[in-house]
Amino acid sequence: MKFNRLFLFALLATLTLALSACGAPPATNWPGMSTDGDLIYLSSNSHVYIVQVQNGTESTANISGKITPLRFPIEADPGKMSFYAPPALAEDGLMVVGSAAAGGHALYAADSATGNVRWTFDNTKPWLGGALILEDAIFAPSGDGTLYAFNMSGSKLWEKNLSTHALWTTPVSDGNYIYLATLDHKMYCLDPNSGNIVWSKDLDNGMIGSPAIVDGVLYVGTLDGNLYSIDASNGNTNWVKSLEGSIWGTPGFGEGSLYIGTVFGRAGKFYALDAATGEVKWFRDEEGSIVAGPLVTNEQVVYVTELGRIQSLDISGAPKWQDNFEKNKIFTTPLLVQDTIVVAPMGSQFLMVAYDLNGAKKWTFTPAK
Amino acid sequence: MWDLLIVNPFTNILLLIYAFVGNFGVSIILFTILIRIATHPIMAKQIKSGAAMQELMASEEWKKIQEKYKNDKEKLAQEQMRIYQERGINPFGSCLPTLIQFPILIGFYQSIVRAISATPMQMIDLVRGIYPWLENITAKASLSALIPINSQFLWMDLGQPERVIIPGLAFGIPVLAIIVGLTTFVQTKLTMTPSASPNDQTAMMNQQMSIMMPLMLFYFSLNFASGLAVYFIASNLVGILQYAALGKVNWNNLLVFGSNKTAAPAKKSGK
Repeated sequence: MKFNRLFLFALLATLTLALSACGAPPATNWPGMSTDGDLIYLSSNSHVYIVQVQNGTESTANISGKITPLRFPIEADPGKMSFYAPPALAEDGLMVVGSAAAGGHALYAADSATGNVRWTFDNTKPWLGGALILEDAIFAPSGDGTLYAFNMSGSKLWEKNLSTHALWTTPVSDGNYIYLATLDHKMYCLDPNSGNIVWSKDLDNGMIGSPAIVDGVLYVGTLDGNLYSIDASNGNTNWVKSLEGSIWGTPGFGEGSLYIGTVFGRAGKFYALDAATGEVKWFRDEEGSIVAGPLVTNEQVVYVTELGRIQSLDISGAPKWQDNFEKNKIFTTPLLVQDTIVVAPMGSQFLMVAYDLNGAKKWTFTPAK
Repeated sequence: MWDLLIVNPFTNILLLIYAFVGNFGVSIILFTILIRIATHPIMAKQIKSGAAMQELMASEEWKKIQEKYKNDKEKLAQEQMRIYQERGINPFGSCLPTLIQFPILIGFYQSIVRAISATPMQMIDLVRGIYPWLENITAKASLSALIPINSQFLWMDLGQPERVIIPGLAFGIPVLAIIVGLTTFVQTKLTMTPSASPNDQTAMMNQQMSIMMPLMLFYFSLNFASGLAVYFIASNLVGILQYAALGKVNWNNLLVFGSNKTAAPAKKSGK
């Protein structure tokens, strides 16, 4: 009987541990990155880190007479604050980012120079999509399927429920309208002043990546591997191209070409297409799946894979340079800041790694404790 | 391997049921019933083993050796093994079936979490794990039709811990977790095996179980995705029905509280 009692306790303890380890909220996601041209803002779980592009060190602030790394929040509160969305940045130093923590689903507007909160907006669901700042308004997609619009002081301008599922993508704009892709197959064009739907289009499959918008044309990929070119003015399809695998990232654009990777089982494929016609110019097989959208610069296109590879190609598809984080996954689109390419691997001792345009490593970033 | 053998098949069965019924909460309930039916022979064996063990412990022979070798644990263990062999009882017979059900519970929870996919990163595994031939069974099981899963069921989001918000109250009430605690308590009380003596260890363990299990599952339901709580409730209710069908439900136990004594099961009519 003693055995039975011990067994019972052991069973319950193991069950608790096993269930706790296998998916209990809060669920995590890949980090989000954005830049104001000088600083890199990295949403990585407990903090948004603010890092200088020149040397990869954290900005600092004088808080109560003590020089402290400038982060948001200054002191971690993981039960209430977890960040994965790319922070939205305004010219006056306002930074907007929502929390996806189990115990706190607030949208925060903070002063990026001090880390102080200017205002918050509480919600019942996590924020995984990044906000868009357009002129004097903030447009934030929420886990409750609603797009919220605020002025810069945090007063709600309007809200529009767009989905029964959470909104995961960051809205984009051409300066006139807002465009939002949803997991429940719909692409929306909204009036930023009223939130009214200008047009919507059913693409027959979910979208995880935001659309790219170039010269009045939206480019967006779906989970069944269809890449769409859509007229942003009316939602009409210019062309659609079926690729192998599913599309998760935002397509990159450069010199008339579109670049996008796919998740093809555990492997991936990287495509270059003619943006005008959708014809495939070339493609390249990868051992690891390609979840993130690529970074396109003047002379190269850089993509990252789930197996931790960072691959640079020239516009003809020929390899330029590469690096590998074999034990780490990379799901975040690389960021170009001045002449530095920044990558955010997951599970690495480094939260960010920076390269020059020739692939030479410039710095790594590990937060100070 | 775990994914291949447990989580992926479970997820695909859940998705297939969802494709037919169009409601993820109902899919969880139906899949729970399926699992209960599939593991019914194991449970029946567990009940049989438990009853045989109980009968053995109430026997004079067992009590005698407990008394005779109370100061010689090694000899006591040898004698116990001898009696097990003579009576053809496997002392682990009531534990092994529980062990077998254990991975099912873990796998089922993982498959619920995966199917609901609270983040894009979780959805990668979902999209990867959907069997391509699923859509050959029904078009409603295609990737396009399945994703996104509608995780709303009644008033809850099955991917999040459940709370009912009442205006004026600063906190949400975990209605589902309370129902889980209650149904687990009722199931534990109804399915307790009778003990020969109110002071023996079985009775004490039963007593502990009837308190600990409801608290434990209440805690899980409070903190984990509410889809798991739906599973617990459905599993408890089907479990009571299974015990009732086997004539092992002790209805009188519901009226016994705060005592170590458990009532004998009601005799099946016609026997």
